[in-house]
Amino acid sequence: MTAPLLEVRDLHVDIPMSHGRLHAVRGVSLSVGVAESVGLVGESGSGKSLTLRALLGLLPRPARIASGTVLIDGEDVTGLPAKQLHRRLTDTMGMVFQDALTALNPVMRVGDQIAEAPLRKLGKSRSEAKAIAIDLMTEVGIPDPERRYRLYPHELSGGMRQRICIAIALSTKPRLILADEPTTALDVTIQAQVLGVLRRLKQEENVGLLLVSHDLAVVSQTCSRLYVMYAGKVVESGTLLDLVTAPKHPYTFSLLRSVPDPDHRVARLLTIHGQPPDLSEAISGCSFAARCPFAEEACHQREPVLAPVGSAPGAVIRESACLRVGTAERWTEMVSEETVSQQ
Amino acid sequence: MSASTSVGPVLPAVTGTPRRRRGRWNVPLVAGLVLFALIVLCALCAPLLTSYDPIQQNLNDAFLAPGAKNHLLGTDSLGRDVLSRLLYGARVDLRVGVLAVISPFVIGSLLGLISGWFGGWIDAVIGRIVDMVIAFPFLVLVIALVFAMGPGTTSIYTAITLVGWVAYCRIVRGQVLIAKEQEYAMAARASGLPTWRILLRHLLPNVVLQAIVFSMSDIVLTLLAIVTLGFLGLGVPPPTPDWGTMIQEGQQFILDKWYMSTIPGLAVVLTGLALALIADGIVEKANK
Amino acid sequence: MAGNEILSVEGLARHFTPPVAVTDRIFGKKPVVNRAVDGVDLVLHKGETLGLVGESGCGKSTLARSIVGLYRPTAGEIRYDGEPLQAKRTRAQHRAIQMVFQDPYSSLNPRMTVEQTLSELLRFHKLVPRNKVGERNRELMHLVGLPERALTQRPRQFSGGQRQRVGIARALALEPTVLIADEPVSALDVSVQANIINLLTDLKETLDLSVIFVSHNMAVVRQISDRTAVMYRGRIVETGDTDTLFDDPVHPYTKLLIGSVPRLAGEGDRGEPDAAVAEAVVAESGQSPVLDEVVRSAAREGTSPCRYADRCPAVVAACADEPSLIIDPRDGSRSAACVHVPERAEGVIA
Ligand SMILES: Nc1ncnc2c1ncn2[C@@H]1O[C@H](COP(=O)(O)OP(=O)(O)OP(=O)(O)O)[C@@H](O)[C@H]1O
Ligand SMILES: Nc1ncnc2c1ncn2[C@@H]1O[C@H](COP(=O)(O)OP(=O)(O)OP(=O)(O)O)[C@@H](O)[C@H]1O
Ligand code: SF4
Ligand code: SF4
Ligand SMILES: [Mg+2]
Ligand SMILES: [Mg+2]
Repeated sequence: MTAPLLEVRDLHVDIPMSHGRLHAVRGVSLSVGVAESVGLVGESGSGKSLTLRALLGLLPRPARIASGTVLIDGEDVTGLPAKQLHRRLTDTMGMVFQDALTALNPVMRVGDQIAEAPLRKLGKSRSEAKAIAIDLMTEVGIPDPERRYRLYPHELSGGMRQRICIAIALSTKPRLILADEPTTALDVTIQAQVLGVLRRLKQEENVGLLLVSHDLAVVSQTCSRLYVMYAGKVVESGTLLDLVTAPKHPYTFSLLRSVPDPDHRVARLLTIHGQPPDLSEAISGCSFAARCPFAEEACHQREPVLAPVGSAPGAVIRESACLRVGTAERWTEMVSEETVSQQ
Repeated sequence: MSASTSVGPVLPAVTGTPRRRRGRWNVPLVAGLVLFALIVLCALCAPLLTSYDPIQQNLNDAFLAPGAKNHLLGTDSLGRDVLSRLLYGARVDLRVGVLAVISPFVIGSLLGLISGWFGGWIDAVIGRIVDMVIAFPFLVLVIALVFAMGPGTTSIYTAITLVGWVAYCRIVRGQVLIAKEQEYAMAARASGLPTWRILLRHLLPNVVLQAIVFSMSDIVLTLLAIVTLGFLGLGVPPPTPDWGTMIQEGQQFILDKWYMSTIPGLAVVLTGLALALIADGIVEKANK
Repeated sequence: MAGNEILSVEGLARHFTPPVAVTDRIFGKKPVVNRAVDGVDLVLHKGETLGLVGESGCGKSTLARSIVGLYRPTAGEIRYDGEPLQAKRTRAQHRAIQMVFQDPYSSLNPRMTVEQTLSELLRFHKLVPRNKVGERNRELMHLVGLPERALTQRPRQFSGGQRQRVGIARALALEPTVLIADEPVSALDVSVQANIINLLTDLKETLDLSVIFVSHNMAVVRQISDRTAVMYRGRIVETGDTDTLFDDPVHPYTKLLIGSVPRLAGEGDRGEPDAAVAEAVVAESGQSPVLDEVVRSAAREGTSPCRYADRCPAVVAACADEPSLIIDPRDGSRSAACVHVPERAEGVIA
């Protein structure tokens, strides 16, 4: 088996605060294969953005990596000197942010912003760089790229701007794109188009994708494998199909039943009570215990670890961090009993 | 996080008390208040702290250095005790400084509230007046007005009020423009509450903070204005002691008797520091 | 259905005119008027939840705020229970139509406890005798599923979902019959949204409310509303029973909107992009000759073309004169502002 393109092992990110620290990312491990598209979902504050930014060395101050290993093509790059590490990371990965307007330089023509990396990093000539930029603009579905090359960010619509950002991320010829909620700020019709661009890239260009979103449906549009994060940890991972049809962690399970479906209404949505734990305090036991419909005494004492479940040989590894994963088949019955007893 | 004994789909985390901040001292606020209280206390207890009369001249003992002949801070050119002049001067300066800030504060804030909320021609008229007053430097205008009305504390109050309200008006108006677009202001309107009630009960407490913070530095500014007026001979008429007059008198002897101006100058700086600390403290408290 | 209308809006317009600098006014410059709401006709029936959807900036909030009385309409009329509402509403009219706001962080006065907020309203509107105010406050907390001790807390001590409950309690304190909820769950985490959706559904039943639920989230609207109205650039372009509208949209914009909603893939092939999305990409990417013709003939005739024409894949010459809502001949409860409605009903086009 070849080594994955990107592998992260046991990543911890801390944010020092006036009293103690906020332990925002608490041991995340994940991997993305060559040309694979992987999704990272979880609610606000679960540490998705910090994980992604840590990978590119773009953590906002004062957040810092407390520990963790990053491997590229199976090679541990963590020990490299800072400059080389930065080079290695940015050569491999490009990033797309949520807010396209602030991610772009307001006083520079969008085309020149795309051409910048080919010009400076890849050492292309001015006209070559421009040709590359126009190709990239076509690739991300910008109609009439020659004319739009000369426009400034504020002259473009939100969807166009986000496509420019994707083109910029692609301009260094990365093998992996990290996208942090790239469609959250967009209207649903525009979101569909941008997701279409991402899907095409994956199919036609062999670019890997690590997509972060709070919306399972958005992630499911482009990714074949998922990680679900909760309170700074990965609580479940597996293929999209497995996760959606047979979740093995109560958080994934509840999330799937609490989000309405545009194609039919349900009698009642499942609710997840409470809110995530305070990450500046130590968490004893399972971090989901206070909100979990299946929590039992042991969950408050013992911390579940991410462990493989159902080991079909040769299949994609399926993992869950739940003490009661053995009861997963009965969860649907259990919540319906609970709703009945509540009424 | 304990599960709560609540009905229905209650979120168990109305944990109430903000966890992190409990038991923390608001250092600047406390320090500022203590310092300011000390200054006020000294001014109030002046007769207990010194046995000298601040206006009693004694030409035999003029220009005494600090410490000499029982004069802790020395004497001035007319042989008056500097410490007692300083303490009694504080009474005058603090009173004028604080009083001269209250009326511009009240008038400016109310006009700002009205101007920002109603907009339209009311805002235009008030805005024009503000622009006109602001076109002149604060001190120049105050000096001109006091000059026209003649020296004395009443003139000082009036002049500072006439000029000082514009700053409060601008600050509050700006805050109102932001606050009135906030959804809580809309909610108050949607529930049919009368305008005056929305303005005074919902908006004012939320917009007045900036004005209070500014008033702290404004007291210092006013003190300096009074000091400057005293310096120009337009201030509190002699022989009433005040810090501005003391600085001005000391200035003539600054080369060999540096302490004569420095000591009242230090009093001004100390008062300014206390008020600045209080302002910082208020901001910190509000941001909790 | 007619007859049990609690609220109706006719030809409602609200335009925003930016202030013009004095110098510009001297040179006769006209300000560019923003027609945020531009001729809306809408009916809310007793006891129903009406979903209002549309893209960002199409005028949903402006419409909602005009109905609540926060904006004075530029034109048109709002009727409550048959009575036209005047610019100055009576106390009873204020009470009857209440609003729940979007932003859980700015919609509560940061300096007032929940109790102060609620008591002020109860006292001012004299809803309960003075000695019963505390009791009513506690009742309201139960109604929205908050513990009584929440009464003494200030907004910053609550989570987003809890604040939204307080916002709902504030609206309910006035015992309204119509509740306008402007994106009440959009700012909330996915795991908390369901709480508020269920709460609103329950409250509607127990208090017999009529609700206008504004949202840009199609899935939420499908879950909560009985009827749905689709807004585009200041007008309603389609209304109908929620299930029919979602399963069989008539207006090309509604089709695009519904086709664009991301579906959870993995169950069958639902994840594939909708044909409507692909069509729209084509329509938006280039100038179509038909569209040019539409623009030219509209200029010639002095009409205004359909406001969706520049994005519409189904544009035809007739679109030069903007259609108003046309009732679907097959189903009187639905209507759409598109020239294709009659042909579609006859099965000429899909
Ligand atoms: N610059 C920062 N300073 C302080 N705390 C921060 C900073 N950035 C993030 N955090 C905290 O770290 C935690 C994780 O944040 P992160 O941005 O990774 O969450 P997320 O999963 O991306 O959430 P969202 O969906 O809201 O973007 C949160 O509790 C957040 O408050
Ligand atoms: N108070 C105002 N002054 C001037 N223009 C306004 C005002 N309120 C809204 N607008 C403009 O009116 C248009 C419609 O805005 P509105 O907020 O009603 O849209 P919306 O459908 O609610 O959008 P969103 O989904 O983004 O909330 C926008 O172009 C907006 O800029
Ligand atoms: S370990 Fe217990 S509390 Fe945690 S998710 Fe599993 S069942 Fe729930
Ligand atoms: S009227 Fe014409 S342009 Fe408008 S939506 Fe219908 S087909 Fe499209
Ligand atoms: Mg994020
Ligand atoms: Mg809105």
